[in-house]
Amino acid sequence: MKEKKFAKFYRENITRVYRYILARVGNKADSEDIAATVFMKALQGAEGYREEGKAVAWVFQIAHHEIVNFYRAAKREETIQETLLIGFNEKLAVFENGFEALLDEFSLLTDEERNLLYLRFSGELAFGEIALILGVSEGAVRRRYSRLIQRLRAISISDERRR
Amino acid sequence: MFGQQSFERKLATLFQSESPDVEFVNALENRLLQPSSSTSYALDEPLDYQRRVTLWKSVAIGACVLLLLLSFVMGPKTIWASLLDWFEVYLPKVGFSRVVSEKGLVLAEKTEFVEEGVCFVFESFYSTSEATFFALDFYDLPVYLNTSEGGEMLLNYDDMYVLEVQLSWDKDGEATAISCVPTKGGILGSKHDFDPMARLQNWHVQFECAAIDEGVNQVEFEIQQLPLLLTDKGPEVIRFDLDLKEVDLTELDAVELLEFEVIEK
Repeated sequence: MKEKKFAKFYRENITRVYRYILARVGNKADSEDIAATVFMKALQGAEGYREEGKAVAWVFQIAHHEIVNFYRAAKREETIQETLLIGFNEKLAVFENGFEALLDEFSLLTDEERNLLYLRFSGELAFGEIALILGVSEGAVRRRYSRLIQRLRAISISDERRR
Repeated sequence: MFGQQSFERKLATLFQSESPDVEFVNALENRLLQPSSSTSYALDEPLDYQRRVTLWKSVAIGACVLLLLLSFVMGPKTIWASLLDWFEVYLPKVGFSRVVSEKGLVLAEKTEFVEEGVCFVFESFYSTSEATFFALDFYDLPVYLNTSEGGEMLLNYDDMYVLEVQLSWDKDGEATAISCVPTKGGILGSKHDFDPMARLQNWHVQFECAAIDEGVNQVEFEIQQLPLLLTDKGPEVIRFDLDLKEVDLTELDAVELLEFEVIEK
């Protein structure tokens, strides 16, 4: 990628990459550090990177690895509750009921399921882009996503009914 | 209670996070695009990079020399045949497969059919006298057709992908998922039951495949006990007329063979 191309790529993607990182890390300062590292690494590798169509997936892969490294270095486990609970009160308002059971279910998600939700909702990525990141077909991503959403929705509904 | 899309919107809100500060975005951009920036970062692993390049060059040159020597000893045609035999053909959406036919039918382009609101998408289709491969996706199955009990919900609520059927044969001609039995000179008339997903125990799809020699380009599915396709007359038969084109695999060079692609719409 040439300099101008990289600048364009950076401007187009910094917001969603940052949001993805912030959603997973939960704090602004660390997210900025990680985002900077991600784009530095992307720039380093950009010279030899020719598959431009997959560049977004590639930079999100770098972001994922950096986040994993971040948690490893900090010697703590990534938990969805910890980051989701930031701004909890405002977010809670959108759910009314059925949120607590959902929050419990979040803790049972596999790393892959959790990442899928972050990529989709925080990174605002299309299924095709997520497929490239996860190295599976778009169909497989859609299937996993659909099942996950249905599972979470069913939990939320049953919790709501109990109340 | 809220609908699927509404639920997704709520989840999206839950997972939303703030945008980066403009100052941070601009500062990082300046830092990244400083003339010295890429140089200094590129210096992190210059030796490794050089070593890798040299190594790959050596491997490539070595392979060429070896091929040249073997060509002299065994003859280029034998070498070429061995290479083709060694590498399996890559069929998009299907994977690697050993297809040795001279003639084959391929799908001219990705094709969609809508039957009773359900969208069937043929992503790819290849048929030779040895094997038939295709990848078929189903979309838009409506919510009221959810037949699962307990356990997983199989169908969805919002035009999402539901299941994928893929037929392929393994190297011994055994069905790895769902298949037609190969017969010399085409496989017209071969009907075989298969269950697209083990979890959907009541689904049986009869598959009548295209035949190469006869130039038939019709695929017939008989789907039984699939609620949406059941009428009072019994199971519906859905016919898909696919626009298949005949190709001579031997006329394609190795690269084309490996990059054999279905044209996307």
